[in-house]
Amino acid sequence: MTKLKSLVLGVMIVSMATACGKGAAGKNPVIPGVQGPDVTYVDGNFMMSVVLSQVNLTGGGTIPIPNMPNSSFEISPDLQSAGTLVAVSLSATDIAALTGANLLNPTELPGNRPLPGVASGALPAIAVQVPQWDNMVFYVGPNIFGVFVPVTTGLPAGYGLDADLYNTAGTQVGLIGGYGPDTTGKNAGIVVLIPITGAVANIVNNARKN
Amino acid sequence: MTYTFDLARRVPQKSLPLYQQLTAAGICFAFALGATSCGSGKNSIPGVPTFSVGVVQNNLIASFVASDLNTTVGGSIPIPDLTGATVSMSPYLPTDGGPIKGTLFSFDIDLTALSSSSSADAGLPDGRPLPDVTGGQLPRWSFQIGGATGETIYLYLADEAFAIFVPLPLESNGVTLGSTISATFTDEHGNVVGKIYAIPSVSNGNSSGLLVLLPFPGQSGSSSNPGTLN
Repeated sequence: MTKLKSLVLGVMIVSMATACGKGAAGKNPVIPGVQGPDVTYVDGNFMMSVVLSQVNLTGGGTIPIPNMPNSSFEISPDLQSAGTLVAVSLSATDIAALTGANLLNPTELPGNRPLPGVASGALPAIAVQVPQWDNMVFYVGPNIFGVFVPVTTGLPAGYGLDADLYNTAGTQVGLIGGYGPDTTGKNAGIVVLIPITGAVANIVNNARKN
Repeated sequence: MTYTFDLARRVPQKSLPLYQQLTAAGICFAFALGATSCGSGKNSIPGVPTFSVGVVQNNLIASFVASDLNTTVGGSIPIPDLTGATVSMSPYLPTDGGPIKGTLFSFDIDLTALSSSSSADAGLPDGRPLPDVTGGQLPRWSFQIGGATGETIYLYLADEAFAIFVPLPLESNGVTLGSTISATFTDEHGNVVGKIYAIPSVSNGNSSGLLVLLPFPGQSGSSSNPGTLN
C-alpha cells in the first residue's frame, strides 16, 4: 500500500490545466495514471470507481464504512490494467439516513483545509481508518456527500486544483479536486463532492421515502 | 458556531466550535444583508447572494459566492507570509439543494499564525478609511491571486478586529452598486458581532469590493459594543 501513497500524480496539475484550457463541458479532467473517477448510480448505490494504473497490488479487500451499513469501499487489483481499483459504494439509503441525523462532527479536508466548493468549508464526516493507509474520509452533509482519497498528487504543499465532475452520461454531478500536502507535509489526496440536487436529490429522496 | 446566509433570506446552518480567543465575540455568523439592514429582505449585493464566515479547528473560513460567475475549474494557493493560509476559487456546490451554479471564493486562515505576525496600518486600497474603524486603519497584509497581474486581496488584523477586503465588481444584470451598503451581524443572542460592507467604486471602477469586519471585544469592548465598531 505504500506504493499507493507514493503514487505520483505529479502531472495531475498539468493535465487538469490542459482540461481547463479545452473547456470540455461534460468531461472530467484527464489524470495520467488515473482512470476515472466514474460516477454512476446502480441498484440504490452511488458508485465511484478509480483505477490507479501505476499502482500494482497483490491483494485487496472490502472495508465497511461506520454508520453506513450498506456502503463500503474496495481496493483490489484491476484485472484490465494490472493497476489498482479503488471503488466506493455509497448507499442512497445510508445517505438519506445520515443526512437527516446531523450527528457527525463538521470536518474539513484532512489537514484542516476547507472543502472546495462548500461555503462553510466543512461538512459532517465519517473517517475510515485503513491499515497502512491514511484515513479515507466520507462527507455526508444535509444536501451534499463525498469522499476524500489519500494519495500523493504531486501538487506543491498548500496548492489544490478543482474541476467540475461529470457522471458517465456527461451530466455535471459535482466537483473533483486534487490537493497537495498540508503544512505538515501530509494529507495530499483527491476529493470528490456531490451535491444532493437534481437527479441525485430525486434518488436520495426516494430512498428517504422507502 | 457558523451560519451560512443568503442575502435574500437568513439561513442559520450549523454549529461549529469557536476559536478560543474569539469565543466572546461570537464571530461566526451569517446574515441576510438586506434583511438586517432594512428589515425588508429585498436589498442585496448585486451578484453576491451568499456569504459565510466560520471557524473550524482554529481556522477562519470566509467565503462568498459570485452567482453570475460560472467556472468549470478552480484551485487553491497558499497566502504568502501566512503559514497555512490559503485562498481558493472553485465551482460552487450548493448545500441547500439548489442547482450547481456560481463560483465560490474562499479564504482559509490559521488564526494562530495570523496573530503572531505584524504589518503596517492602512485603510482601504484606494486610501479611503475603513468604515466604522477608529482612525480608519488597521494593520494590513496584501497578496495577489494569479501572479503579478492578478487580483490583490487585503487582510487586516489588530488586537481588536479582523477584516478582509476583496476587490470585486459589484454589479449584476446591469445593476451597479451606487453607494455603500452595510449590515451588522448578530449572534444567537442578538449581540452585534460584525459588519459586512459592499463598497462601491469611486470613479475608475477598480475599488469596489466586499469588506468583512469582525471586531474582537476582548481588548476594549463588550459583547454589546464589540471591538472597534463605532
